[in-house]
Amino acid sequence: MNDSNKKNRDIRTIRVGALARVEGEGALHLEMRGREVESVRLDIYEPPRFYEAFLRGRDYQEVPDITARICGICPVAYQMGACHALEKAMGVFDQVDPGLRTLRNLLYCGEWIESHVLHMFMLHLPDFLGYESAITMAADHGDAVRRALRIKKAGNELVALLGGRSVHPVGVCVGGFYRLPDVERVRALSAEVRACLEEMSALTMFLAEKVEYPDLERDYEFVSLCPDGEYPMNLGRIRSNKGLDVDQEEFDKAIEEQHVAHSTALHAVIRGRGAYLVGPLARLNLNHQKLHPRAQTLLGDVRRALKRDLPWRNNFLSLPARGIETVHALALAADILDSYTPLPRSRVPITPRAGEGGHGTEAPRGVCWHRYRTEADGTIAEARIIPPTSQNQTTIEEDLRIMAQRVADMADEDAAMACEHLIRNYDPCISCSVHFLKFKRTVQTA
Amino acid sequence: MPPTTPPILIACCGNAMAGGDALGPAVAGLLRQWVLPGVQVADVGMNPAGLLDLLPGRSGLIIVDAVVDSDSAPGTLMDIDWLAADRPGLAAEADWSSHGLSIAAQLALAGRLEMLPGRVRLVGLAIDGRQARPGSAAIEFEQVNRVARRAARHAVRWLKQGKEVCHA
Repeated sequence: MNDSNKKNRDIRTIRVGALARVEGEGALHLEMRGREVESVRLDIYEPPRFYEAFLRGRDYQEVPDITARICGICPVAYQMGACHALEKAMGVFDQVDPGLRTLRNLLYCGEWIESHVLHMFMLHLPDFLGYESAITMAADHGDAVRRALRIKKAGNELVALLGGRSVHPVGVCVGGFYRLPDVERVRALSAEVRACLEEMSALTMFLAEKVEYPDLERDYEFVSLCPDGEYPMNLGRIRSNKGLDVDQEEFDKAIEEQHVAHSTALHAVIRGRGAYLVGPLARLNLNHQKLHPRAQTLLGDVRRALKRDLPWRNNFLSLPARGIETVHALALAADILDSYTPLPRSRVPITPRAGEGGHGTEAPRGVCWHRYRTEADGTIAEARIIPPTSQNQTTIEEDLRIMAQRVADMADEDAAMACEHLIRNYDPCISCSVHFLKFKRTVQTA
Repeated sequence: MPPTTPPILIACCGNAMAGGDALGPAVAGLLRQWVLPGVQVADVGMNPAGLLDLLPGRSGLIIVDAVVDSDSAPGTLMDIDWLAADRPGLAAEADWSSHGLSIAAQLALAGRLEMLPGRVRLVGLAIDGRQARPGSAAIEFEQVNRVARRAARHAVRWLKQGKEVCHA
């Protein structure tokens, strides 16, 4: 879906009319004069979805179920951001039992597993290995794809365990969960999760040993949650490698969202500084010491295989970073499953009040931050959601500017493919970033 | 999945909140009220790649979904042998995203991984594309019933033809 034209002798335009293997509707527009890049635009043309607007006037208890509908692959991120922010608004944030927080991590493990594996093995790995899609890749790497599907299924089952179903889960509420899982059902999942841990460890080494990574080093500002003593998912201050260090509540003051003409999604930058990067590479670089011991050991093996020490400043390495995070999530999930005992209560009782709270959690693609203001009866007066893809957009365009120069001598089709490959490093969720619900399930006959 | 995998899977796809695209979930709801030994009815909804999880161990697969087809009047029953050489192509066959591998992409991948059942049909209802939006008219019961009966008929016939693979 790319075309090229010569506006004049010097100008070359490469356009990818519809990006493939990303979620949502976006396009890439590169304009070059000789080897110099005139303009780079990641056009996002999906209409806005207005979630923040129609959350206003709804009861606070409806928010987790409504925001889960923003995304089919990372609904837990939207639910967790909403729950934590609203617990702050309702004044119960510090009352949430540690056991419930552990189960929230378990739920998030499920989401990371299913999302990361789908992206790595169905969407991104074919780029690195030179295949058009996972279908053609499966002809040569069928075993890897089969193992990936098994792991993804385990992730789905973890989400369903606590969420009632794997897509748009309904088991989450502000204050905890509507009901807690039976011990027998929890234990029954453990063996499969541990088996998948072995599978994923092997697959991650495959990614480290058998895949060649393009060299595109940049001095990114990595931003992620940085909790004390655990790898980030639900809690922690928001920090960067360049001095950002803010309390959760202050995040929206540290960044600035900007309208740009070519995108229906807002572009976020750090105030006074510029673009930043959220997602697995940022989390890993800022928090690798807090990985589960099993993932720590694997990270050492991966670094040796790649011959690269941390920090990784090349976002093509988001592929093995996702592999390591998936191992972390599987190992953590297995531990939580094995040690689970019934909790005294499934949720914290809440008396509605007027309040305000802001909180971000780590969606598979990076920080997903929410703020809500509530009326005295618990009605939502104001909502703000900052999804990860909108935070990465400026960085994606900066990456593309460098890539465009490197592919200047390539044929248009090859140049476009290289740029698409780079965009997929970010696993962008365009629909989330513009909040427009697509209906893809309708089958269209020719 | 139950301990003994029923040989026939009826996988119903779609979005329960999106007018005509709610066909799949509605058919799943109806079929679950019927006694169909040897048949598992699954509402795969909008689960990305969820169909692939359900395919191992099946001898037959029936996909139930709404179909946007400019050549068919809305309401037309669609019944297509997926594995037939002359099957019409689908506009969204190559649709891959992190939020939903198209049904065609999942079936193609399943075929490559040798997970695809020997018999596969698509049973659906032609709808106008504008019907697949939130707030558009809900699918009518008579239409749901018609699709459900057609899907069930295929399932029962397959079971009769291949009792040796029916363990239910």
